[in-house]
Amino acid sequence: MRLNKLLFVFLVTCSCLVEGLVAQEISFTPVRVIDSNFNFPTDICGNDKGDIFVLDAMNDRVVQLKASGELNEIKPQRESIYKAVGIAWINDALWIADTPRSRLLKMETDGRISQVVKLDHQTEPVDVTGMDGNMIITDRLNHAITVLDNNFKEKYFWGRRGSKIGEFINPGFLAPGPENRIIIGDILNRRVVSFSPSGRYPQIIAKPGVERGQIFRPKGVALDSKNRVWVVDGYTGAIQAFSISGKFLGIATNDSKSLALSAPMGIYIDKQDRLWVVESFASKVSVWRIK
Amino acid sequence: MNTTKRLFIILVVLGLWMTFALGQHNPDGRKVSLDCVTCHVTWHDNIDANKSLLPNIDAPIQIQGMPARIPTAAMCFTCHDGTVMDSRQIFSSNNHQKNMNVKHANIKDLPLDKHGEIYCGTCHTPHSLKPTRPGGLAPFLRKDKINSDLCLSCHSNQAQNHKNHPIKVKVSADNTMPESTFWGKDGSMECMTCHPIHGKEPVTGVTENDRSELCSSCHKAYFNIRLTDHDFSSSLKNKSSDIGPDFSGHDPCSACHVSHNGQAEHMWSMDIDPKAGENAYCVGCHSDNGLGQKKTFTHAGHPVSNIKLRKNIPALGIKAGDKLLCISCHDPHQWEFSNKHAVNASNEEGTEYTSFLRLPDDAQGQLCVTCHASQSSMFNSDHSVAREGFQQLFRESNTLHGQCTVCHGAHTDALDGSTEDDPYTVLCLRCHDGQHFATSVVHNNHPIGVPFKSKSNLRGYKKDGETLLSCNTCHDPHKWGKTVETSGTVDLKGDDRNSFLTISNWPEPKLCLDCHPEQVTILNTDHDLTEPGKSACSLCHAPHNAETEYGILAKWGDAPGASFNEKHCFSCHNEQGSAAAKLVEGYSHPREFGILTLPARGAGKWLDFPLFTEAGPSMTVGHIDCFTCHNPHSWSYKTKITGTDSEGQEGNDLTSFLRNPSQLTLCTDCHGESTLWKYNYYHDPVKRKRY
Repeated sequence: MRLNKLLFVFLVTCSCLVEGLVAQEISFTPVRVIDSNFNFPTDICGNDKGDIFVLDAMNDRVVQLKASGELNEIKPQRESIYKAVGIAWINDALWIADTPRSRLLKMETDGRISQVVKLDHQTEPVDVTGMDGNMIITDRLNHAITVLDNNFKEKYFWGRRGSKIGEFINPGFLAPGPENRIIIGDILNRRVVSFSPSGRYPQIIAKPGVERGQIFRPKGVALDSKNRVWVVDGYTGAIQAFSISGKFLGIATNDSKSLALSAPMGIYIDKQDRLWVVESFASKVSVWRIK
Repeated sequence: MNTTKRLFIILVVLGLWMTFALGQHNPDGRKVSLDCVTCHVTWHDNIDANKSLLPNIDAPIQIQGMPARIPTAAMCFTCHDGTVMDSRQIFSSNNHQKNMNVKHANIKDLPLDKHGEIYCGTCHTPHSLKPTRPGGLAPFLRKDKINSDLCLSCHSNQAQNHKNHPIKVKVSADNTMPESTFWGKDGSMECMTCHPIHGKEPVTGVTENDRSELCSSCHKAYFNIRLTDHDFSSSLKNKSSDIGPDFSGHDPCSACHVSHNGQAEHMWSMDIDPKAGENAYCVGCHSDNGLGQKKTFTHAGHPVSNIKLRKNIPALGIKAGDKLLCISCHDPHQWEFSNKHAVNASNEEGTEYTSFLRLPDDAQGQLCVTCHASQSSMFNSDHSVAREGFQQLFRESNTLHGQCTVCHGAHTDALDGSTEDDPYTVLCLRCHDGQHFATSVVHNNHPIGVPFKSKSNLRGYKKDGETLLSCNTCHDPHKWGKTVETSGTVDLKGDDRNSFLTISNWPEPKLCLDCHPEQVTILNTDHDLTEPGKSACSLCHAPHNAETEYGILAKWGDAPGASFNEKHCFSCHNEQGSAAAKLVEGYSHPREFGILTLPARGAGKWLDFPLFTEAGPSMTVGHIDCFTCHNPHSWSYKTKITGTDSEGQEGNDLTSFLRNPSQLTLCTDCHGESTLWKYNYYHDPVKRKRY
C-alpha cells in the first residue's frame, strides 16, 4: 500500500516536469511604444474608461495616456511622489504607494492629493491593489503584506523575512487574482505566490529558476480575460503565463522568439487583452497584443 | 531485504543525490546556497539551453581582460529599481560617469564590463561588510573610501603633486559644505568631499562652469577677488576678442586655478615660464603679451628674485628663509587691505592702499617697514608724508602716495618717476626746489655729479661705471639723525648731528673727512672751532646755499674785505671776531696787473699757489688773496701736523697755516731779492714798505 503511494507521488512529480515541455509559445504582437521622457518608471495601471497611468516617480509625476490617445502629465499638488514605486486604480481613484514616505496617496487626475494614508510599522509600500473594499500593500522593509479595511485601518498583516511558505524576501508587485486570491511576486525568493485575502492558504504559482516556466526576478503580475496570471521577469525580460494553480501556460514570443524586455516592471492588461509593460531600464512603456 | 526496504534505500540514495548533485554550484564545483544564485544567476545547475531564458552574454564582466564571475549592471538594477532598494537616482545620474574606457587606467583588481568600461560592480560588491561591522566599507565598496583608496585606484594622477587639489588635508571647521558632505578621517578632505559620486551634481556646489559655491565653502577669504581686476569672469567679460578668453559665467577662480591636472603647482591653469621661477604665476599675465599687459613691471623695480628673507614676517605670512616673491607683498585675491570686499573691475588705477597689497603703504609705510623696519624712523621726521607740505603737494597733483611710494616705485625705476642719470637729485629737488615746502637747496651747493673717493663707500649714482656724488652720498632721507631721538624731529633745525646725514658729522666731521681726508689736519688747530652741533668744517663751509660756489663758503655777513676770501677770513679775524687776537693789519696786494698761475705756466698745481679773480679761483691769471698763501686746514705745510695745540702759539714761517715756504711762491717774479722780506712781513703794514 505504502509503495503504491510512493509510486503515485513519483508519477505526479514526473507529470509536472513534463508539463513544462508541452507549454505553448504565446504570440505577442507589438502595438505601440510610449516614450514620454520617462526616468526609470516603475508601474502602470488603468481604469474602466480606458485611461492608462504610468508612475514616473523620478520625474515626480504620473503620465496619463487617455483613451483618446492624448498624453497628459499629472504633477502632484503640494506633495511629492518622488521615488514612489507602485500605482493602482482602486475604486475609481488613483492610489500611489509612496514608498520612501511610508504612506498611500489618493491622487486625483488633476494632481490634487485628496487623501493621505499613513502606514504603521514603518512600512515601505512597494505596490498596492484593491480587493473587496480592502487595500492590500506589499512592504519591502518588513517583508510583509498589510491589508487595510475600507477605513484604512490595518485588518491583516502577515509575512516576515524568510524563504518558507508564507514568508517573503522583498514582496513586490501584486494583483488581485481569480478565486478571491491575491497574487504576489516574492522577488528575492524568486517565486510568485497566491494567498487568500487574509494571508492564508499560500500557493506557489511560479517557482525559482531561469528556464521557461520559472521565474528569477518576479516583477509585475496581472490577470488577463482568461484568468491567466501573467508575470514579467525583471532580469530575463521574459513574460510568462501561469494558471492560478501554478501551471505554466506559456511564454510570450514575437516572431517565434521569446520576448526579452529591458528590466520590465509593472504590467497592466486592458479589456482588449493588450499587455502594457513598463520597461524601466529603457524608460519606456511598450504595449503588446496577446494573441 | 524485502521490496519495501529496497525501495526505501533507493529513494534515500536518490534524495541524497538530488540534494548534493542538484542545486547550485559555483564554477569551482563548490555547492553554493540559494542566496548566491540570487545574483550569480549562471550558477544554477544544469540549465537546459533550450529552455534557458538567460541573456546570451559572453564574458559579461572581466578583470584584467579575463572573464569574472560577477553580475552585470542589469542584475544590480533588478533589485535597485525601487522594489528592494531604490538606486534609480544613481542610475539616472551621470555620477559617476560610466561609459568611459578605462583599459589603460591603473586598475589591477577591479572588474569592468565587457567593453572595458566601469559599471556598478567596479566599485561595489554585496560581499563587502556593512559599515556597522568591524572593517566594513560603506556602502558595499570594494575598497575603503575613507582615505580615497577606491578613487585613487583609477584616478591616481588626480592626486599627484600640487597640480591637483590636495586631499587628506584638514579642513577648517568653519567651512560651509553641506551637512551631507563626506569627510575623511579626522575631518580631512578626500575625493568624495567634493565629488559625491552619486549625488545630484557631479561636484558639490558646481553649476555648469561656476564653482563658486564649492570653492567658497572652504576658501571664503579668496572670494574677495570678486569684481576685482583679477576676477576675469567680470574684468574680461566680453573682451575675448582683444585680450583673452571670455570667462563670463565661470567662477572667479577658474581663470588661474583648475581642480585637477594643472599646468603647474597651485593647480595653475596656464602654462608658465620655468625661467621666471616662482614668480612665473604673476609674470605669465603681467608681461607684454599677457592678460595683464597693462600692468607690467621692469627689473628696475623692487627686486624679487633670489632674495631669501632672514626673519619671520608674520604680517605677510613670511617665514625666515622664504624667497621674496610677488605674493610676498601682493595678495592677488584681495584688492584692498582695509576693505576686503572692495571691488575694482573697471581697470581703476590702484593706489598704495589698494593694488592687491597685503598691507597698505600708508603714512606709516606699513607694508614696507615689515621688512625695512630700520627706515621707520622717518615717520616722525620732516620727511613724513603726513606733513602738511606733502599733503599739499598731493592735493595739487591730485595724487595719493604712501610714505615709501612717494619716492620709491616698486615696479618702475628705483625711484619713482625719474629717468635722469642722477635720480636722487631729481627726486630731492621735487620738494627742495625753492618752489615747495621744503628747504631750498638750489644755490651754491656742494658739487654733485662728480666722482669721489669715499673711505666708507658712500653711495652715489652710477654712470659709465663710475660712482658720482649725489644727494644720497651725504643724506639718508630715512634717518634724521643717529645721535638724537628719532621722534620729535619735526621742524627741528638741523645741524651736523642729524639733518638726514648718512654719517654723523659731529663732533668729528666724519662725513666731510670721508671724502676729504687730507683736511683732517685742521682738527685741534686754531681753526678747529667745533661747537655743539657744528663741526670744524661747518664753521666755514655750507654744503647748501653757501655764499660762494667756490669752496661753498658759509655766509660772512658784513665782514670787511675786498674779496670772497678776505671777507671770509675777516669774519673771524676782526676785533669782534673769534680771532680778534690775530688781526690782519696789512694784507692787500696790488690788483692792477694779473699773475700767471702755476698751471698756466706749466710749472705746478694750482693749489700750490692759487690765484683768484673777483669771480673766484682762476686757473690762468689772478690775484693774490688770503688763500694764495694760507691753507686754513693745515697749521704747517712742512709736516701734516694734527692735534697741534696752536692756541696762543705764535706761528712762524713753517706754520701759520702757510701753504709753502717763500721760495716756492711766485713772489720772486716781481720782488726778486726782496721777496723774503716782503713774505715775512706781508702783514706788517710798516715793514713791508721798507722795500
